[in-house]
Amino acid sequence: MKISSYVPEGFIPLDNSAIIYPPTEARFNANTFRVSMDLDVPVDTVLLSQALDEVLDRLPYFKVALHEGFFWYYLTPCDAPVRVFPESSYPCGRLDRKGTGGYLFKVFCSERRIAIEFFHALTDGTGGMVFLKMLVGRYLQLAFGTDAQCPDVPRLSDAVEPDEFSDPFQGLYDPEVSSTPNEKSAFHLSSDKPLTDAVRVISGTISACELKKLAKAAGATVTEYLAAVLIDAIRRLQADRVPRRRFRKTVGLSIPVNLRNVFGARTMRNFTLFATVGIEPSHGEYSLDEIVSIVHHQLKLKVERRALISQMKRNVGGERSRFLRFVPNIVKRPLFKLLSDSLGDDLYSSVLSNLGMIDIPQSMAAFVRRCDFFLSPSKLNKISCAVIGFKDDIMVNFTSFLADDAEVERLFFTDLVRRGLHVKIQTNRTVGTVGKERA
Amino acid sequence: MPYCVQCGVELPPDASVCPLCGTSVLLPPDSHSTGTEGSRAAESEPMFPVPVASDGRNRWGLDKKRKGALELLFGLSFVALAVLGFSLVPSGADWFVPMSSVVAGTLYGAVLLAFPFSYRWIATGWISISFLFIGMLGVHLGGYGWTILTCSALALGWILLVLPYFLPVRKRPLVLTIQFPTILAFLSLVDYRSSGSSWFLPVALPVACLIVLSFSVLALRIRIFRYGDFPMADFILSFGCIACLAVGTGEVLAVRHATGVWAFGWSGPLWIAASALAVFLGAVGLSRRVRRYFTSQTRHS
Repeated sequence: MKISSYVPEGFIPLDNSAIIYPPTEARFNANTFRVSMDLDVPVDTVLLSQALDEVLDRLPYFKVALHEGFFWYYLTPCDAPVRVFPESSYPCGRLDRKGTGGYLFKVFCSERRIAIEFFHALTDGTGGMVFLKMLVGRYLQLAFGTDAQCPDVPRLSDAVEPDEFSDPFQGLYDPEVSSTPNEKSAFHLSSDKPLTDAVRVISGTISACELKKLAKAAGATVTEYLAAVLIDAIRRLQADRVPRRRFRKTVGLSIPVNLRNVFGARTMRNFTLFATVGIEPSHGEYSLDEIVSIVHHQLKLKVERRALISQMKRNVGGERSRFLRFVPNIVKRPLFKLLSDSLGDDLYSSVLSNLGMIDIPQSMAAFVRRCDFFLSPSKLNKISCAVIGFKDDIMVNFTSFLADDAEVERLFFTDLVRRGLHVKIQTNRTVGTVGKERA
Repeated sequence: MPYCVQCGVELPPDASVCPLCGTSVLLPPDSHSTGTEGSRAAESEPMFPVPVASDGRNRWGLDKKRKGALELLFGLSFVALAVLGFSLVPSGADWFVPMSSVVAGTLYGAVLLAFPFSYRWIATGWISISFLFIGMLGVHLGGYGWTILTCSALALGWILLVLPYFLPVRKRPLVLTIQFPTILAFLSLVDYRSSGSSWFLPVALPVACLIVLSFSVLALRIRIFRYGDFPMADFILSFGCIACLAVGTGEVLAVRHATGVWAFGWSGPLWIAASALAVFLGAVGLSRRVRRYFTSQTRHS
């Protein structure tokens, strides 16, 4: 399949969500995410490369490279050979586009793991997971003859649908809707030590049944409950570091909302908006139950169809403004870099993204032991949290630029332990660097 | 399987500390060898390959805001240079000074953005750029006298204000032994370049020696101080005494150099102040009773 069959003149403008990612990409702002599957069997790199080529033929949207035009960044088809890279010690680093041959994703392989890191300008978590499921499914088919067709993933033999390239934001733009107002600046973790761009991970594995039971008892979904626990952890940390209550700032979380569930598109591109939920610690003390209730109601309001369209109006309206359209990229690029924090990262204290329970057929699940999802942190929000469920487990993965401070992670997981959950921790942190601060 | 006794979380079988709180994991030596081979292999597989010191990441990349500011700065400088160049060159004006000023200004900004929060590197960068800029101006304008003096002053400034931050605190005596001869060398250069009679040997050198001697005495006094920590008040008064003495001596030597007569000019009150301070400091240093008399308001012990 040739992408040029679907794209006029081989030129794909970035979707509305993706516009901000290329100009703001920097050392502490990688704008990448990673999805991976751990297998029970060793991975054969040759077969994986073959599977990758076949999957890319079916998903031509991913065979693109990023370029800078006079006014905007854009994507064009890329025919460079795709490589499989050995697994790295630190996930979600900056994507070296020269190393990948121009592609905006990188496939990693270790003895029993297949992982893909994506630059966020290409796709979102849902699109990335479709790619991974197809890749692992095709690999298992080649290696073991397993029929591994996932229900929500296109078949290799299916024709490519133009919907996969669509940018639904443009169709949902309504100039008559009023824009969502901007929110207040939020609390951010500070560190007196230099940050490290070798992203540190702390991963907690929790029983899905137990967590669902706990969330249900609190009257919330798993995402809402975990968001509330994380807000509470950051709230307690802020109370510790800012003794005077009146000086405490909003503790907010940005929660990506998969718009495919709301508007029903089938695009492989970014189709996500961010709902910001949070509390005002300067107003008084909060119990976890109160935070759960606040998060539940705030999320309900923000995920409502009309509220999302209003948010889209703001984003797409900005893209369509005459000033932005006709200002050259050489001016837009530094301005985006300088303004992106105040319009985005500054409004929340961290990001919590939940990809949900991963649904794969039994024949494929027999080979897959674990799924993971990681988000790159940013300079302002030094910790990100990514959640994914598979089989009976929910993996909560914290990624951080703080080499020797895991206080938020500690407060988060110990709170879950106190509420009766069994948490299993794994990390890529070097032994002995954590806890020195506390000791 | 090990657990953290502080956090209550389960840890990987080979964990020696809890990654959340840093608490050590204490297990009997044979407790790692329980379980079947297959399950243990799967369980003990590390989440990522062993961390390495350098993972091929871009360690020297700039962060987003700094990168944006640099791009903006270079963009605007480029436009300014182009406008300036086109407007000045055809008219036959001396375009070198304004053009090089713009370049130097851009470089100052670039250094400020490239070395975040690092006083010593920003200062070193600025002094180097100024050095280069003034040197080029000297070559262009043909006046080497002021160029040599200004460049020497910049070098002296670096040795006095920046060098101490490149060396550890324990090497401060080494810094002082570099700084003192450099000051003398700079003064002698200024004296050599200035017109009229030479003042370095008859005035500057004795005053410098007096200052070094006075500070040596102060250092010795601090070292042999008998009444606990050396008080800040004593230090300030000693410093004042040395300053009065140095300025007074300099003035007397300058009068002697100019007129050939030993006489006090305007420095009489400084000599009186220096003498009074010296007597006072001597008294409180020698007698515990005098010291207590003056410090009894604050420290009865």
